[in-house]
Amino acid sequence: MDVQLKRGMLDICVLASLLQGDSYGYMIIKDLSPYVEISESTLYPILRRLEEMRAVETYSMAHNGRLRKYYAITPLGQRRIRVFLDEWKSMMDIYAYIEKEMNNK
Amino acid sequence: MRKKEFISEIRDALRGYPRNEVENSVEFYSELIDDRMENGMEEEQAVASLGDLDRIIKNIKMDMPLKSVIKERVAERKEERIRENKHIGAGTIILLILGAPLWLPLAIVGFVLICVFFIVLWVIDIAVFAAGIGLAAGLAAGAVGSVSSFIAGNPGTGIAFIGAGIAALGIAIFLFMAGVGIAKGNCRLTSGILRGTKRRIVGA
Repeated sequence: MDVQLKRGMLDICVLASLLQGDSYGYMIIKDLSPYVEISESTLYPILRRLEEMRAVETYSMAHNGRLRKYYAITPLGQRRIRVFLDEWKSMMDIYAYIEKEMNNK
Repeated sequence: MRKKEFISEIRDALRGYPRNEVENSVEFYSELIDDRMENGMEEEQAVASLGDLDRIIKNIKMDMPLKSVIKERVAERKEERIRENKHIGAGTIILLILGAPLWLPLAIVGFVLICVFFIVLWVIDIAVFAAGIGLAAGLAAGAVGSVSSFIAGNPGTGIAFIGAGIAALGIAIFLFMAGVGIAKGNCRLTSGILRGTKRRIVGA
């Protein structure tokens, strides 16, 4: 898959994994693993980027005598998901058209 | 490898980079190791499951600002030279000075060419927008023209003016969309070039 495209997709996947509630690194990887293979060294830059563009917010909470960093999706992050879905809706229409033409060949 | 070693290797490899950035990434990976161990993995297994250390370090570097990547690379080179006892000899310095009439203009030309490249990218975009604004003004002109033609008792010319105005608006909208597209493309190209430069330096 196109690198740029995949990068954008992973951003949205990570954002989506925060919709049901705040999460942390290990949990995000685990939640996404049935759908996309995402390694730790891929996740870290994504989370940083999302934080920089204020699509997520972070806070630390004590857990078993250490600090764990939690990530929460912001309204801006939710908007990015909606934009993604809209864009892909039109992509899917194009896909359906191409597929139809191919099958009718 | 144990967690402590893993972390000190990362810190070592990233000496010279912004401290808080390095600590942020160390915290991230150390938390992941802790979480894996909490879920029943052995320490060494947890460290190994993070993947290739080299890859991790390169990825962290790729995420640093270009400025600090270059700064670090320059410092590294300097250190290498000192370690290998390779001082910049007098001969090299003399050559550099004597060669200045040649390499200095070349360096300046190179720099200017890079600047011109980016200026051209944006000038094209500005030109497209300007053409769009011009055509949008054409719509106003068309409206004025049609009204005055109707008043002057020339309904045919008036309708022609309306048509021309609408056509101008259509092209203007198209140009605005093109302008936005070009701007996006420019940004993508610029960030791509920056990433490419960084990748070269980091060696990822």
